[in-house]
Amino acid sequence: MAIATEVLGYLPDYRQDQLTPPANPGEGMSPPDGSFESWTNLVTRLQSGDAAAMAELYQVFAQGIRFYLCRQVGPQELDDRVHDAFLVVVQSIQRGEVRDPRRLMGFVRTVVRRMVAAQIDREIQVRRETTDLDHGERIPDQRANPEKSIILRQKINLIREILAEMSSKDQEILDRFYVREQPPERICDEMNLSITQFRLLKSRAKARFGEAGKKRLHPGNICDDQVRTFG
Amino acid sequence: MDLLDRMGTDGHHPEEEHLERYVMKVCSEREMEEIEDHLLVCEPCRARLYKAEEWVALMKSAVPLGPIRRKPAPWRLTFGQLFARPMLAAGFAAVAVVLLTGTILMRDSFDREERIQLHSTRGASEQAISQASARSRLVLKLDTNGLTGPMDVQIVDSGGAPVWSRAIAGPNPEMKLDSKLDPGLYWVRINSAEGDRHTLREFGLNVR
Repeated sequence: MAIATEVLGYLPDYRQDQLTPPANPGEGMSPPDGSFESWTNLVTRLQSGDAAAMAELYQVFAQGIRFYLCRQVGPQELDDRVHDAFLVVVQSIQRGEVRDPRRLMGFVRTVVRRMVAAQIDREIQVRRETTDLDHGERIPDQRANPEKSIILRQKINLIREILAEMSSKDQEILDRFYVREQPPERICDEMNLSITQFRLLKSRAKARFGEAGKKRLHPGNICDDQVRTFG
Repeated sequence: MDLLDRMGTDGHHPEEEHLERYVMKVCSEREMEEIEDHLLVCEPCRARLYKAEEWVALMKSAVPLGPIRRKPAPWRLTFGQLFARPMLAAGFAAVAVVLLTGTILMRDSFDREERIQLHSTRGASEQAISQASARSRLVLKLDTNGLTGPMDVQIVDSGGAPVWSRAIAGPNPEMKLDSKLDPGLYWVRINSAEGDRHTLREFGLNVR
């Protein structure tokens, strides 16, 4: 148990805190339909200086960029970085650097990726230059707080209880996929499974986990259907 | 159908398995790019990615630990500790074998029936007294030849105190005793069941 807690205790805890957008809830929730025409149209409007197109681009990509940056370089100065990335994207589009508007998503990702690479280079440089001045390195404590650690430990126990109910074959599939990180094709090939069987097993494990979690949270409660019937 | 055909430009979402492989950083560069492109514009898939991350982390921690083994009962733990030492275990096994064998033999002896043909002691001699085992359940074979009328059988100890009695039905009966007899000398008497109930015949029985 100690191993599990240690592993999960060091999971970066950036998710809920830093990635929740400060803007209104509807923002960024409506990407375009994904068709080639809509991306081409958006790029054309941006190149012609359409302010509404700029707002649309921001609405579509701002959260995605925020999400990507946060995962890659952490939550520091996130708003500023998102803003910078957006500006670079808009300016690049307006300069006509988007050769294939249908690949706008790929273009944005490339821009943001380059920004991330530049940021990492800068940080390495800063670290090199300041290394003599520092008396010791500061490493942020990325462990989850005690409450989260307990919740994670409970979840691990729950999974282990579910594993106990599974056949050894099912356990082997999970072990191969999640621990040994074997590709599904290899697992299916070596264990004589179809890809459907493989997916079914994984989804079944998740479903059991969900059910067990519900039972634990509400032991002996009347099920939802009954509540609706009597209510 | 290829992943790239299913998602990205035509609005399809990556499958659970692809998200998990993306989290585990085991997908191809092409797959990774496609997933990242999609994540840039798809809020629901970003939420799915958080869940996938948590799930993968849990599985990576829980699966190597294996399923939870139920805690054994205290007595099993104690026995387990005892049998963890080979010499001790061998000793226990030997004692168990001896006890088991003894019990089986003893039980066999206790449950055994012994049929005793009783001889008349008129003109008593050592040979005239029948011998029996105290460990066996006795079945006495009585000689009633020449005797008539209602009779009963009575066992008395060497002091003349009655130990057991039963009415006799039919000639030369086999009388099964209810319980074992303690070691000692007994007299088995066939008495008349009428009148003064005098003794018609007497046998000697030595229980050892």
